[in-house]
Amino acid sequence: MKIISLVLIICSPLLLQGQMQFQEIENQANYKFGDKEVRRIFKFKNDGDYPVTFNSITSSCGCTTTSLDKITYLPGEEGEIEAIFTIGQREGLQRKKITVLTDDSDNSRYEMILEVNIPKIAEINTRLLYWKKDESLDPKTITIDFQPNEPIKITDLKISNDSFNLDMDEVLTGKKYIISVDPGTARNSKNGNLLVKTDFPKDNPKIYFFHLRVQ
Amino acid sequence: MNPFIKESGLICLIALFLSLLTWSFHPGAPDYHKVELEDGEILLTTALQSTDLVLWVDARSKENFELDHIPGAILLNEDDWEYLLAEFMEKWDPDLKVIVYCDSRLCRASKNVAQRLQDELQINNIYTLHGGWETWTIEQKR
Amino acid sequence: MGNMDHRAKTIKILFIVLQIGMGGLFIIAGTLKILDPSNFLNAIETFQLLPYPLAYISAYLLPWMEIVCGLALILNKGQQIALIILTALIAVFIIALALSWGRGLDIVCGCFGKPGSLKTNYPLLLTRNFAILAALILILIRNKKIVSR
Repeated sequence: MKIISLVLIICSPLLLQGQMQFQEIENQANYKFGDKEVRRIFKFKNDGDYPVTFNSITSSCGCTTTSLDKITYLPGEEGEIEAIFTIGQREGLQRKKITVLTDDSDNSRYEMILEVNIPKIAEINTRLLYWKKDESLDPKTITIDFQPNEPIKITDLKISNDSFNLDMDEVLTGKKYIISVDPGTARNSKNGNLLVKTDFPKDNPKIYFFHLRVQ
Repeated sequence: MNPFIKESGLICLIALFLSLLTWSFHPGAPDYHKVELEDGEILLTTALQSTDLVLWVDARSKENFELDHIPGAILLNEDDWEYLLAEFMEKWDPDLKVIVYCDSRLCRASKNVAQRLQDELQINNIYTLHGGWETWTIEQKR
Repeated sequence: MGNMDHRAKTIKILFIVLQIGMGGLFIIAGTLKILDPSNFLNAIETFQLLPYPLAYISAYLLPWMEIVCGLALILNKGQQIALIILTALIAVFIIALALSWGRGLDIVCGCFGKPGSLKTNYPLLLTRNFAILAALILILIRNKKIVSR
């Protein structure tokens, strides 16, 4: 095995370029709030003089699936790979790598990148309010700062444990909210979950989860 | 020649020869390149030897988690972050060492989840498992 | 006089058993290591004493040295030099263990195959290695006497 890989490493510069020509290797997809998935197409053409068959297409993330019309392409034939990236509740810059293996003896491996930037809907200071054992039971605050330009409302606060007292303040209308959480005065360990419901995006409103704990 | 030098040379030569054979043909022979741990990564062996209590976090897809997972692990991926985060918090305790894993050495899901846990909960003691689920299954087969 | 002969004979047999026992011990120890070289490499790495290239070579060479020397002891061929090599190896292990103990490392001994799950029991490991060291030196001295006689 080691000898084979050594030979391969030495000879690799001599290997020829593969037959499959991909138009773009990096593909930047646009995203708008509320999108559940993002699709991009990678176009390719068999530039060689013999047929090439795809052996596998794998993605670096279970969240990205790919599809292909058929697997064998004749010389001169064009085709496309469609990559579908499921957003879920991902945020920030996402770079998903797609690895393609063909039966081409010259170069059988191709790598493509699907890049999507998913802006955060809100900047939130913390999801966990935690009063340590020896910490005084002062109220703690959650700051929710909505990023999109349009106004966003917090429509509901749902708390699982009534012994925490909530107080919400709309600091900037439709933009910035501060929720103050008072754990009460009783020094006993307890916890609670807080759900903050919003009205954005319209068709799939965002709900934020917070955990409160007194040790 | 001094028989001692001759004998010791012979012993070393035999051992060297057998070492070379092992290096070439042993299926489990480690490659020379050293395991480079990324920031916040932990080796499975280190994790298993540690006396800390570990909370395993599975950052793979729900389907894969349901097929099999590390015993005691909980599912937490970005497909359904808010809901799964609530389940994570049910199990979390400040004394627990949190180790996040995804499919293999190449996946980034565990890194992303660990980063989000750190950013959003401001808790420490979070690691990602080097080699992920793949390494775990290999270790189980030994 | 017959009594003395009898005693000398008993001691002689005891030493033969001890030498074969030691040989067997090192063959087993070496075999367990060489069966899983990557595990042993990890063990060497946790000592944090050797630079990586040396650690890598040692992961292959040390187990085979143990096995070859162990065989030499059992076959009684080149046993003196084998004893010297093994004594040196054990001495190095003891120093490494002591250094790690001093530095508070939690090591996987890797001495007999699989790593233990508990924290390193330094006193036990050191005691065991000192016992092996003592046995080796004892055989070494005894054999030397016979040769020089």
